[in-house]
Parts: sequence; structure tokens; C-alpha cells
Amino acid sequence: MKRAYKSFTLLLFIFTSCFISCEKDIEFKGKITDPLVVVNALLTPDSVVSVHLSQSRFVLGEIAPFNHISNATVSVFVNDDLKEQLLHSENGIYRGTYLPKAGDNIKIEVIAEGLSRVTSQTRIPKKPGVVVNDSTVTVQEEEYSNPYQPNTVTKTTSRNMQVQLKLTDAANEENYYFIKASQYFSDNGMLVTERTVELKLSEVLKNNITDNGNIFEGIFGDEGESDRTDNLFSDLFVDGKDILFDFSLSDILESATYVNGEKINDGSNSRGELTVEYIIEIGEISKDMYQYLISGNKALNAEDYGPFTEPVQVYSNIENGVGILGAYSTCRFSSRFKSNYLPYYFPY
Amino acid sequence: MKKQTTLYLMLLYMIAHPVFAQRYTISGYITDRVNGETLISATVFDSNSAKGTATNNFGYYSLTLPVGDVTLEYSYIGYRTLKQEFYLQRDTVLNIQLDLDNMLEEVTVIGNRSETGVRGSQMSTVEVPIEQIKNIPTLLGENDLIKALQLLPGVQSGTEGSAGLYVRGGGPDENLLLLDGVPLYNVNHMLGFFSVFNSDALKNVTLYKGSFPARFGGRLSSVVDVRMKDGDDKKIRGTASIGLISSKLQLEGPIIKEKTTFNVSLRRTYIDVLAQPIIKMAQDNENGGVNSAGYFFYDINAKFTHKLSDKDKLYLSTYFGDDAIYLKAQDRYSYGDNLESRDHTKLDWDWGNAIAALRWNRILNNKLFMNTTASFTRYRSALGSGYESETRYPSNSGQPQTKEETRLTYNSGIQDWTLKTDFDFTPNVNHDIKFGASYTYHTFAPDVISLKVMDTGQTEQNIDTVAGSPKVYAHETAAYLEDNISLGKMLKVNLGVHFSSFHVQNSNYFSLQPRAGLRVLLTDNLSLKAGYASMNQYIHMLSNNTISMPTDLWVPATSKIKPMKSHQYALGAFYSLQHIADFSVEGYYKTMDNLLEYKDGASFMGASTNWEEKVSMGRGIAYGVEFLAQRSFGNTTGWIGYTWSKSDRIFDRPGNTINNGKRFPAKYDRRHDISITGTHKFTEKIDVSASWVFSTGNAATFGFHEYAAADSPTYRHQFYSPETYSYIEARNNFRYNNYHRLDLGVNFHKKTKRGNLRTWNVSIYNVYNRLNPFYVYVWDETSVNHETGERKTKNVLRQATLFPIIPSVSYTIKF
Repeated sequence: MKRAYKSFTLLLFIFTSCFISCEKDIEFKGKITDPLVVVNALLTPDSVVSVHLSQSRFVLGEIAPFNHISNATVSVFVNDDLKEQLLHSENGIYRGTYLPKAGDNIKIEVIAEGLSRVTSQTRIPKKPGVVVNDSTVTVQEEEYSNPYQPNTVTKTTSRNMQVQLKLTDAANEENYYFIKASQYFSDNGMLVTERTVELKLSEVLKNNITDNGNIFEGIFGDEGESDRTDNLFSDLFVDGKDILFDFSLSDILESATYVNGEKINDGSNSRGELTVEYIIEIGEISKDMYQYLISGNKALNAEDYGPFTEPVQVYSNIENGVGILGAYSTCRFSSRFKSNYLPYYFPY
Repeated sequence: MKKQTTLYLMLLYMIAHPVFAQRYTISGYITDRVNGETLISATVFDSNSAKGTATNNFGYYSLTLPVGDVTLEYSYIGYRTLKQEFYLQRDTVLNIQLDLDNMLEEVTVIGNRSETGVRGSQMSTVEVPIEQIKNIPTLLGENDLIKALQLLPGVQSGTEGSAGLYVRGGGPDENLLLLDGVPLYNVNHMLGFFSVFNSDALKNVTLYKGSFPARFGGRLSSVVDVRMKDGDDKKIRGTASIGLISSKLQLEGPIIKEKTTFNVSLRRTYIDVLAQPIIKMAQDNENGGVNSAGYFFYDINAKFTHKLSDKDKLYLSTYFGDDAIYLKAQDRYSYGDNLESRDHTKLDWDWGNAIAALRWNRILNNKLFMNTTASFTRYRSALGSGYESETRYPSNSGQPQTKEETRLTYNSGIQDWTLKTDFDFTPNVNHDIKFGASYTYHTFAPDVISLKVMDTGQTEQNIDTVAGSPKVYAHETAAYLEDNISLGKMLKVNLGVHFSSFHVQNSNYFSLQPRAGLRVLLTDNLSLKAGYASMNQYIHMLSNNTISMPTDLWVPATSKIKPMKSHQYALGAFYSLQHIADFSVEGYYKTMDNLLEYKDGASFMGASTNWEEKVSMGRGIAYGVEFLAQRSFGNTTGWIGYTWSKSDRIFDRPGNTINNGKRFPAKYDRRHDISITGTHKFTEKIDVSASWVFSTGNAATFGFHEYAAADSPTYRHQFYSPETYSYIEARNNFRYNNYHRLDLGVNFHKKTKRGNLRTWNVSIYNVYNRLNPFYVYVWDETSVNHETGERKTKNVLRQATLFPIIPSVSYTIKF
């Protein structure tokens, strides 16, 4: 019986050694298509029209940098009138002199030798109607003892800013928005460091919850999937309504540690006074740009998830080519104050 | 005008009631003489009147003929035809026992498959003898019903080795798989490499691909009607077999001779048992490691039949099957003399089906047969995992310093309670009427997750929570009426209607589905057929696209996700070359509506939360031509099948667009499918079998160009900005390499002195070691020039193959 068992185990080994997954390189038998003209341009009011042109590359074979297109004729039409032809500056970037205005319908036509003629158009969105609805700053001093270090007391001065912004969505039209907030640290007018303030739309928009549930449910860009687009949203269910954004931004202005009543230097105040500035941006983006960003994010996520996910076609509004001609318009709000405290992310 | 109308009505009456003479009914059961097993679709044919009928799923027939001489031929494939001549002058009960025929060449083929062959009105239907299925060489020697069906024209498999069925452009959840009339929701073992059907327990299988009779409903693309053996009513018999991965035992026999029978089959894999010594050897004794781990599946089929009277029979059919993965591991760590920690991990994951059906057959009169069934079916998947971590300081009191316990369970499933009644009514020789009704109470439990965390350490955190989707209850009712009408010798029509309703939450759906079939018998051996079927499906399966996972979930239609619908038209010619083979060629055109496809980027890995957001609804169009040459008798049996087909999807509804709303090929759209399957019996001691399959490669979505991405001011970090995107021209824009494979098998039989039959089976899967594509991906290879130190990276297309050449051996004894 034991012998039979051993024989069977041996047989199992033979069987499992056969039962292995094999991999091999295979030849691509499909048609290798010509490179596509890639147009990337995101326009905004009061900045000159700038377009980046390159060629797509076939994915198989040696990986080479993208070929920039430097010999193209790039024409800009504003509200159907030819406004100018852009000049190539470097690395496939073409710039003009015209400063687009909100409401402009901008069409771009690219003609390059040996490549398809490509066109695209977009409308420059207006600045979103955003006002400060409420703003409160409180400064508070606190003192606490460390239970593990007797006779040690830490005194802090903290600042908390509550800001409520109100965005009035334009009625009867599809609007797409983004929001982001950043914090900048400057020393004697020189920018030392900056950081992005992590915002979750669902948190920022919590005051928009109605009896019927969160009015933004299902319209966030991609919250929870990736950070790339979780700050985008549409007005699908809030068309023409006021949308409230609530921010609560806290900072320590000063912190000092006392041992037996004597102040010690723990390094957090060694740099001296800094200027801290918060900038909150709420922008309206064109629908094409929104679709491009959302689908692009999904495409990258799908690549990360591997074979169990359907690959994603990235949205493009470039006729005969690929890429994006989008537009955005931004409102900025800033709050500036002085601080003697160096947070942990400050570069020493 | 009035005269003309009267004549017309008289003519109609004469067609419908052609016999004005006194008529009597001959009825009874047709069974195997040796074991008493009822024979399904056996034919009864009166050569004097050229009228005939076939037995139903319980072996019962009823034939009404005029007074006079009758010459009845009872025939069934593989059995000797029995002739009965007598003068019919009263209603007669004739229970017929047929003998197995070794001289199979003598069997008349035409008469044998009255409903699916040349003479029947049914088309798009294939019956495959179970013995033939058992002989087809398969992966690891596990003969498999589903794998055999995948070799038929119009039926495609999914990825290699999987048990998924894609019938005439439909999806894997569009097949109604019935075991003794009860639906099975998951027919897969081992991630789909094997099916749950143990062929030792089976008697008959019929695949309907289109032209569905009105008695079937609830799925769009196919019905697989599998019937279990009742069990020998004369003596106890059995089969035992040992294979590389599993063993099987089947026992059948009388409990009360010729009155009560049983048929029980058991199967279990034992890779887990055999692997234990290897796991033990691999264990790190110092720090622990895996204590035990494994995978197995088992299934049990049991059927009991009891003859209450000459008119009443009771059947109890059951099936239980489970797959299970388990793991127990322990890790110990010592940090000097002070600290010791222990971790325990446990994982149990099992999933499977259970069905039970209690059936009562009653012959109400010699023209009316009733079958009433109460049944239960359930599929469930349960995952349990636990983790325990203990850390202690030996220098202290010995009590654990910290202890953390986490228990996670995940449960999902579906269960149905069904009550249904079916009637077979044969008022005269020209009408074979079936009608019935059913009610099903569905309980969908998409997923329930419970989590318990106990931490007696630093955080003292305790969590005890349950999350997931709540159970959903649905009521499904159905009623049908169908009539198989003979209009003279040449024409036969099957007309029917299937009505169904579905009530779920606050949504009600109703559907009236007409069915029609027409046969024109041009000669005794040649007929033309046409069919139409409208189908409705109220449930959907959410599954991963590539492989069948135990986490596949069944969900009902909702107010947002509508029931799927299809219309299928088929046209075909059937020819029987007596004593050689049956030939058929069929064309079909099928439209499907409210089909589901995953949205771009969506992935399903077993959570039903927001599943409606992950799918889009759209349309499908499938058409094709199928050719089949089948020989089911004699020393050489098998078939040659060829399919040319096309299956496209269109998802262009606002908010549901895929591929920018443009038409694209379905995932398993394949232009050509060829299968050649054959078995040849050289002597009583040796027979060989072979099957060769070829199919166009699967469709897949690839981006073969990449391009620079735009840097957006909306990105909150610079490093969020992507550098490149893939350019995907269209969904399913790429074809894998063609798939082909040859499998061979040899059976060596020997009779023992006790009269038992021993069989050694040697099979080779993928004989010429074709590396078929399972998955294709882009891979970057980096090479370094050792002289210059220069590194070059290039992308190549790489293909992964699942199964190379795999030999297997099994041993079977029949007693």
C-alpha cells in the first residue's frame, strides 16, 4: 500500500511538472498603422494659445522617445475667423499671441507634411461664479502635558480657518468643474515649499446633502479610485443650483516646549517667521477636457489592474488624430498669514 | 361564397381530424430490458399509417391510431428495433422492453431521433449519447459533459479549459442548465476546468440552441437538458474508477425489485491529500509555515425512483457538490529572551450547488400524462478567513500581553424554490400537446461581508460589523402551451407560446414569447426546417470576463437593468444517410436586447455594490451557419462540426456607450470553429478515441499605439500627470492566434473471471503540444550591451499558455 502511495505521488509529480504555464514571445500579425498626429492643448483665458504636437509611436519594438512635430502649420480660428498661425518654439510646442476670452470658440487646424490634416475645436468656459459665503479665523492657545515625560509642558498657538465658498451653477447647460487647494511657504518672499491640501469632494461638499441623499452622489470624477480625478465633478444633478464648499484649514502658528518651566529648543521654531498662503482654485473645464481626464485616469487604472479589467479608450476630440483640445477657467481664493512653526513636511 | 367557406372549414376540420374511423390509444413505457431504465426519445412508429411518436422525458408514450392492423416499430439508438403487429380494437397499454444491440449497424437511424432528426419538427437541437461523451478524450482524463457540448457546432468555449458555454453568440449566463429539470446556477469545478456533471450518473443530454420549445424559458441562448439515470430495477450494479486527480464510485440497483430503485454517484478529487506530505516537507520547523493547504471538489448525485402503481411514479433527485480551498499556517518568532510572537492564519473558501427535486408522474388517462415537480436549487459561495496574533513577554506573568483576532466572512449565493406542473396530452395522432405552469421564488444574496476584530493590545479596538448588499426576493411565474401538429405526411408544425412574469422589489415585468417550428419532409431521408423563438431572461450573472470564479454573482433585473430579450430565426436542411450518418446544415440569425457588458475600465471581483454602475446595456446581433455530420451507432461513432459565425455588440444608448457607440465584435466572436470527434471500437478489448478542434482566436482589446498625455492644471500633484496613454482604436480590435488541439485516448477493456469489466484509459490532451493562447500581453524586455553598457528596452508581444501536452491515466471497473 505504501509502495502504491509512493508510486502515485511520483506520478503526481510527473503530472504537475507537465502542468505548467508556458510563455513565449509571439509575432504581431496585425497591420502596423501609421503614426497618429497627437495634439495636446488646454487653453485658458488670458494665456496665449499653446499647442503641443507630436506623433504616436507603435508600441512594439524598441522604445523611442516621441517624435515632436516641428514643421507643421498650426492655424487658430476664433469664432470661425482665422486669427493667427502659431510659431514653433521648441520640442513640438507652438505658441501664438492671441489671448482667448471666455465664450470664444477656438478651432485649431494642423497641417504637417506626410501626416493627416487634423482639426479640433473647443469653447473657452466662463469663470465660474464663486463667492465667499462665510469665513472665520480663530486663533487658539493650548497647553498639554506629556504623560510619559513628567514636568514637560507644550504650549501651542493654532489657527483654524473656516471658509465657505458658494458656486452658482449656470442653469440649463452642462458644466464641469475641478477644485484644488494648495499651501505655499515663503521666507522673505522666496517660495520655500508647497504642498497640496488633500480634499475629498464628499467632505468639502457635505453641506449639499439634502433629504434625498447626497446630491453629488454618482457625479464625482472618480473618487475612491485614484487621486488623479477625484477633484472633478459635473452639475448633472445640481443644474442651476448653488453649491457650497466648506473648508476647514488648521495650522499651528507657534509651538514651544517647557521643561520645569524652562523653554527648550525642539527645532520646530528654529527657522524664524514664515509666510504661509492657502490658494483654493475652483475652475470650470470644458466637457471634452473632463471626458479626457476621466477616461485617461480609468485607462491608467485599468492597466494597473491587469487582465481582469476591460481596457479603456481614452477620449479624444481631435479629428484624424488623437489627444485633447480642452479649455478651463479658474477662480482663485487666497489666505495668507505668518507662522513660526515648521511642520513635519517642511524641508530643513 | 358561403358554400366556399363551408368547404374550407370542412377541409380544415379534415386536416385537423383526418380520421373519422373509431380510434384507440396505445400507451406505455419503453425501457431497457436489462436494467429497466426508461428510454427518453425512443420512437414508436406505425408503418401501416406512417404515424409515430416518441417517449417523453420519463419514457412514456401515447399513440392514437384507427381501428385495424398496426405494425409498431419500437426503436432507440443502440437498441434492437422491436416490431409488434396486432389488430387494434381497444385502448391498449404496451410497456416495451428493448434489448441492447451489438449489431448496431442494423438500427434504423431515421426512426431513432424523431424530434431532432429528419422527421421531427425540432431543429437546432443535438442529442449526444452519454457513452459517446464518456469516450471523448479530455483534460486529465475527466470525461466531461460540458466539454463534449463545446465540441458541437454553434457552441463555443470561453478561454482554454473553461466550462463556459457560448451558444450562437450568447453569453455564459444565457444557458439554462437543467439537471432532472432543475436549474444549476454554477456548473464549474476548479475555476471552470471541469464541470459538475458526473457522467456516470447521467442517462441523457439534449442541447437546444434555438427554435426552443415553449416549455423552456428564462434564458436567451440555450437549454441543456440533462437527465439522471433512474437506477437498475433488477440487480445492483456499479462502477468505480481511479484517475489522476479524482476517484468515482457509482452504485445503482433495486431497493424493492422492479418497484423502487436508487442511483448514487460520488466523486472526489484528492490532490489535497496527496500534496500533504510535500507541504509537510516544505515546512520550516523552526518558525512554522503552512500546516496544511489544499484544494478539492466533490459531488454527489443521488436519485430514488418508486413505482406507486401502474399509473404513478415518484422520483427524488438530488445533487450536492462543493469546491473548497483551505489553508492553515502558523508563524512563530522569538526576539531574544524577552519577546515571543505567534501568528495563526486560517482560510476556508467553499462554493457549490445543491439541488433537490421531488417529482410525481401520473398517467391521468392514456392520452394525458402529468408531471408535477417541487424543487429547490441553491448556489452559494462562502469565504472565511481568520488571523490570530499573540505577543507575550515570558518574563512577565505568562499572560499574553497583546492579542489580536480578525475574522472575515464573505457569503453570496442564489436559491430558488419552484413548483411546476407539466402535462403531455395526445388527443390524436396529429397533435402532441404540452402545457404547464410554474412558480419560482428566488432569493438573491449578492454578498454579505461580516468582520470581527478583537484587539486586546494597545488599541483595545473591537469591531463587529456586517456589510454588503441586502437579500433580494423575486417571484417568477411561467405558463406555456405547445402543440406539435402533423399536417399530412409532409408537414409538421410546432406552435407554442411561453408567458412569464417577474416581480422584483417594485418592478414588474411581463413577457409573451411566441415559438414556432416547421418541418417539410421532402423524402423519407430529407427535410427542411424553419424555426423562430422569442426568449426572455430576468437574471444576470456578474462575473469576471476571463475565467469562471466562485465569486460570480447572480443578480435580478432591476428597475434600471431591464430583462434581456432575444429573437432567433433558423433555417436548416436535414438529411439521413441510412446506416452511415445524419447530416444537417443550419443557418441562424439572432438579435439580443438589454445585454450587459462591462464599461470601459470596470472590473468585477465579487462585490455587487454599485454593480449597475459598472455595466452598460446594449444590443447584440449574431448570425452564422452550422454544419454537422453525426454518426451515433456502429463501431465508429462521432461527428464533424463546422461553424461560420459572427457575433457583434452595439452599445449606443446615452450613458451606456461602449466603443463610442460603434459596433464591435463580442468577446468570443469567432469566425470559424471546427471539431472532429471520433471513437472506433477495434475489438471488445480495445477502442480508441480522438478529437481535434480548431477555432479562430479570441478577440481582445489592445492599444498598439501610445502617445503623449496632456499635463492638466487640474492635477493636484505634478506626479499625477501621466506621461503616455495607449491608443485603442476599438474594443476587441485584436485577435489571438488561432486555437487548435488534438486529444487522443485509448481504452483497454478486460473481463474478469467474476464477469466484471476492467478498463484502463490512457489519454493525452494536446498531443502535439500546441501552445495555444490563454492570454496575450505587451512585455518590455531590457538588454544591456556589455561592451558599451548601453541599455535598450523593447516591447514584445507575449503569449501565456495554460495547458501544454498533458498525459493522464485512469482505471475503471464495472461490476
